[in-house]
Amino acid sequence: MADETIYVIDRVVTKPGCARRFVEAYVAEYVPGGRRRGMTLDRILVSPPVWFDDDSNTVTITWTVDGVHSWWEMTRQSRRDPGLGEWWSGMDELIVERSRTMAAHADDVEGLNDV
Amino acid sequence: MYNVTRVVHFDATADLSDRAEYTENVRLAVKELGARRRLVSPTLPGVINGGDLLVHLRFASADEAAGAIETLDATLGSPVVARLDGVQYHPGRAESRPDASRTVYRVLLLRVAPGTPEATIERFERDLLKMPGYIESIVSWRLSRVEDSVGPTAWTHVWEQEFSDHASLMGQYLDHPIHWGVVDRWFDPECTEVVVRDRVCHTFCALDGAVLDPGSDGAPSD
Repeated sequence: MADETIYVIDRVVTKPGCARRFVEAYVAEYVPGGRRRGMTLDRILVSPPVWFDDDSNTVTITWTVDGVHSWWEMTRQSRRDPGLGEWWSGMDELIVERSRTMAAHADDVEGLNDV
Repeated sequence: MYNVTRVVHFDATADLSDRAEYTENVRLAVKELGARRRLVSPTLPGVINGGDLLVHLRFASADEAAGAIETLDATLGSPVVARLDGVQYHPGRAESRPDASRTVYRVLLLRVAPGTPEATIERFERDLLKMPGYIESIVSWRLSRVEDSVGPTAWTHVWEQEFSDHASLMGQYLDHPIHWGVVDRWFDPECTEVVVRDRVCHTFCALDGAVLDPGSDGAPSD
């Protein structure tokens, strides 16, 4: 097993008119801590690319982590921080639904499973 | 069958001599409890909230265990002990790779948050049970719901495995994506699926023989 890149993906469906506020809060309040925990912010995508006033947007935030060891270190740090759960709870007023999933390049799946 | 597991956390002031004497006393005492299978073994490096000594007893029935549990817990109580964690349960179905060797017995005690819908708990349990299909160093496994719990956390589940070796438990088990990419979301407060919010008890010890084999109801071993 090499240090394949692991992607941590937050997919957030925002309430109508709330996408810009959510992205601004995420960048200002969540991103610095994510970087401190060893993640690299890859991109923040907004779909559709219109700041709707009366409809939902889907915001897809992608982080990268270098290898499984770094992933566990990242998640151990986040579990020791009760403020993270509180931060997500505070975002409830802007969010319809969200998910966090882990992913990898298709070319890396074989290697990641060969442990 | 009815199983009783205790995780002994020694007090920090207990020295090596205290621990050795205590362990020997426990080994001798549990021989008198009528268990069909018994394991008393120090934990191995790498446990997390996993204590210092693992005690696992199998009885023929809950009634048979009932008489022994009070004696067991009286035996385990000692000034050298800071805390006990424990569970009692009718074991779920054990599965095994029949011819694979095993050297480590691992127990995960966990508490599913109160109020979690039954359908969600069943999805969580199904995900846990997927792990042996991908992690070949898990050679036997069993997931059971807890009926009675000892210690500060009201454990709801006991997830037991026998591993081929300590290095695989510390490596392959953590490294495989079925763990960090699928199962861990149930334990991660940043994931919406989280159902386990309390600190888990992840403990393991050396194994001589088998605890989980479906047909291992034979002679006691310690």
